[in-house]
Amino acid sequence: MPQALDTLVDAQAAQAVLGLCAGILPVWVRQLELSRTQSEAAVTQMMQAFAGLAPQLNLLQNPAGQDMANLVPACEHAFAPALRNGDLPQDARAAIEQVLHMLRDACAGAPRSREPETAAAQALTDQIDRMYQGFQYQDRISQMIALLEADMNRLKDAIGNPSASTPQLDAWLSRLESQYAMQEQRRTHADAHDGGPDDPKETTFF
Amino acid sequence: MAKTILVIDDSASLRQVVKMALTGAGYNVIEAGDGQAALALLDGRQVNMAVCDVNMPIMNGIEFVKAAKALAAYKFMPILMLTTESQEEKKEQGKAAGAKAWMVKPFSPTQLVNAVSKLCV
Repeated sequence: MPQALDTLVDAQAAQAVLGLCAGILPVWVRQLELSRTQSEAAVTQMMQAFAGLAPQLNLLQNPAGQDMANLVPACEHAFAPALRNGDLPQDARAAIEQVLHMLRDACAGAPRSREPETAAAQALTDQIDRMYQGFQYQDRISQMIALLEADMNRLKDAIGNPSASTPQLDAWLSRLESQYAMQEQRRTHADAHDGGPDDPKETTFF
Repeated sequence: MAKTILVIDDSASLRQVVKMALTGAGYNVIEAGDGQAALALLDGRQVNMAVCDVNMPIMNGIEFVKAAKALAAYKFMPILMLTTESQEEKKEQGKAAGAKAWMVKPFSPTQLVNAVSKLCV
């Protein structure tokens, strides 16, 4: 095959790949955005249910004047909208069900001595603390997805502008890496599965 | 009278988490989704402290700190940065802008309430 024809075939193949990417990238971006907004809505709804639950939890932690018989149904009612949401992440659903299970156990024996009640209240408080932290992973995931969306859009724009110089892979990846906020993003970028520093948990006062 | 905390974060779910932790500890909470909306919300209002994300659209957290510190009424308002950013250079930017503390998400309610009670005197 003459060299000129080779070049033409290569150019046509490259153009076909570019066309493919230009068509696929916007769909990927829209799908990512959909999953991000749906999970955000689900977690927000769950947090609102959790807020409605707080006064009921105070009853458990402060037995004076409590109405234990009403506690479980009130909590089930508060969480029902979130549990009906089909987009609720599986981990979040399991965490809610575990809290409800603990509440049922804690209330099943009432009235009783204060000691097991206090222990149950402490266990519930600890579990709620873990839920607070679990909810925040939505924020982390949302940030990761938003960054990928932005990078896909940037690639789509680069593909759609044939007059611009071809982006260089190293420069592209360096720019992406510079935008990471979390250590796990940096580890994943480097395909490093074996540890590395975690984000610090302590508060820094200036 | 309960102290008022301004919570600034573009994530509605995260604002809800912070609000729950702080209202549970007796604080009033007002919310904004970015730095610019937070500045509009201040508008002479009595606010004792701000808890602010860093990465936000329209106006990010560092820009908000600088803008708030430039306002005479809020020059001494303590600001806690609450963010997924953990790099030292980012912390230094926050410190240089005038933030009083830096906390990395995810946080525990106790950790947040302790920091707020320490700063919000």
